[in-house]
Amino acid sequence: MRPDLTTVVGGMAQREALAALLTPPLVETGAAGPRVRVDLVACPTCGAPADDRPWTPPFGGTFEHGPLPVLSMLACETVTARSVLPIVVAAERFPELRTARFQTRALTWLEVAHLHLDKALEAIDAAERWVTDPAETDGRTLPASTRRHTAAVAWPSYRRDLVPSFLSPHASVPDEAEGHYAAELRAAILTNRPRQD
Amino acid sequence: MIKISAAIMHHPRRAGRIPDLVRACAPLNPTVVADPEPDGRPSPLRTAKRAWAAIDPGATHHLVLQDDVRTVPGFAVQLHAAIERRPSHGVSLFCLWHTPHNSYLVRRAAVAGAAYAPLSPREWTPTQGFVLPVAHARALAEYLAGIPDEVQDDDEMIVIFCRERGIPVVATVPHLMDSGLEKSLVAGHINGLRAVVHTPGRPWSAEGASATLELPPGSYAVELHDSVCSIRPMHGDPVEHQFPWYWYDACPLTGLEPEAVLEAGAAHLSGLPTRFLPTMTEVWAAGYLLGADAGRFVADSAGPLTSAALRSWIDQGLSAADRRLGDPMRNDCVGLAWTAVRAGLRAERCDDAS
Repeated sequence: MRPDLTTVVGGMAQREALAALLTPPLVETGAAGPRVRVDLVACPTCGAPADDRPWTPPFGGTFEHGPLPVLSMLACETVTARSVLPIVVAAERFPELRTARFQTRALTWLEVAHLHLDKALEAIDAAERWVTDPAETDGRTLPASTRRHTAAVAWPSYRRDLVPSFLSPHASVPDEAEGHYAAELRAAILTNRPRQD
Repeated sequence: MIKISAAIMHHPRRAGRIPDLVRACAPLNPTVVADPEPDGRPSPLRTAKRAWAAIDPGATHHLVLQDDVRTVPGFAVQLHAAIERRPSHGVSLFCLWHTPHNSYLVRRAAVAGAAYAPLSPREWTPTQGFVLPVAHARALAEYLAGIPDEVQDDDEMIVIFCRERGIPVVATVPHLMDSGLEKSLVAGHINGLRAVVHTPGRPWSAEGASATLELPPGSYAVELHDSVCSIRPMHGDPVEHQFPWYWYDACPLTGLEPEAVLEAGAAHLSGLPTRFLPTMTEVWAAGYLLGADAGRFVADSAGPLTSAALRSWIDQGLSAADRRLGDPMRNDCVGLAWTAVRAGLRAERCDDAS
């Protein structure tokens, strides 16, 4: 892989790891916690319609009451509860982000996929910098890997869909970029995880 | 020489339970400590203050029980044996099946074949039945006396007390009691909760190596909730939160490769009807991760209480939709989890995550 791609992919993996290692807000068992309202977007690639899904905390659907941060994602993808931690933490710290709109990498990818891969990745990387610099206005992309959201499928497909992509269910980046991202993410988790309180 | 005094925290609305519970404690003769303000805002702490001070003269250890528990047959004998082998510890006799860290630590001990599970120094101490050496019990009574009743939860205070004083706390495996399934009198508490490992027909035993096996505290817990397997780091995160880490993504914390987890399960999952795959894959992952964690401490055979630990895991961990599928689904999940635990015990782990 080209050195410039290695650097940007590694940086995105590092960012996802640090976001996942943020301290979650305390929510006592059975109590209501912070929510992120999900706005599903029909997928122009596979045609998945923006039908709502049942959501569990910390996600909320379109009928969730009150002012909340909003995460737009493709109707064909899913992200994990842990992955929205940076949104919740940022919304707690910065009032201007409590009703802000965020989007997944897959949606940002749709906007930049026409660029050369290096430029596309640089654009996504820039759109994630709000995580460490809330004043950053190049976009608010969620620094998180994604998985395909599918109906019941047979084991080979189901197993394949459990493997996350760092960009999109439809991204066609080289396998070595996905492999490098996974390796960097693992290393960053192990390096940065708290070992004691 | 162990000599146990006992007290029962009692609310008059449960008066009907007391005679049977007192009889079940024999030959112990517990003091029944009634809530001094039964019409006030419910506060276990208010009664706990008095129960921890109600120590019989000459006792070496003091037990405080809540009045909504059901003890196992032969309770006092098992209790004595359990204290005798951990005389300097706090000993919990019960743990709820769903708690973020402790329930997992008890399941891990069950799979490892250990008679005691080390409990978290940060999660609330299970106080449905809890024993301390009397010096600690007296200090606890003084400590609790200084806390306003409005704080309500004695268990949240007792974990702080034990942590600050460096008192190690363990739970017996199996537990010496279960929830009596009474409705909680305290606002915000969840009803219908059960024990992690409750086997009234199989007494707690110190036979073999089970009582000498000292498991270290864990660095993560594996959770099965709403038919999804997740990992909860024990350092850095608060005990209670709504951001568990999906197992596949958090595998680096366990020293396992997620693809190895799936590869080990492929033969058991690939033939299942597609509608069951999401839940069964999560059950597989949970069982495998549990087995692999326990496998750090024992050889490749699971302890005799593994089945009970897995049943309670499945019962509390399936989604409402999966529970509606009834016993066949439950039994299939328990069976698959068992297979996964056995496979996990033999797993190869990286050393960089422990």
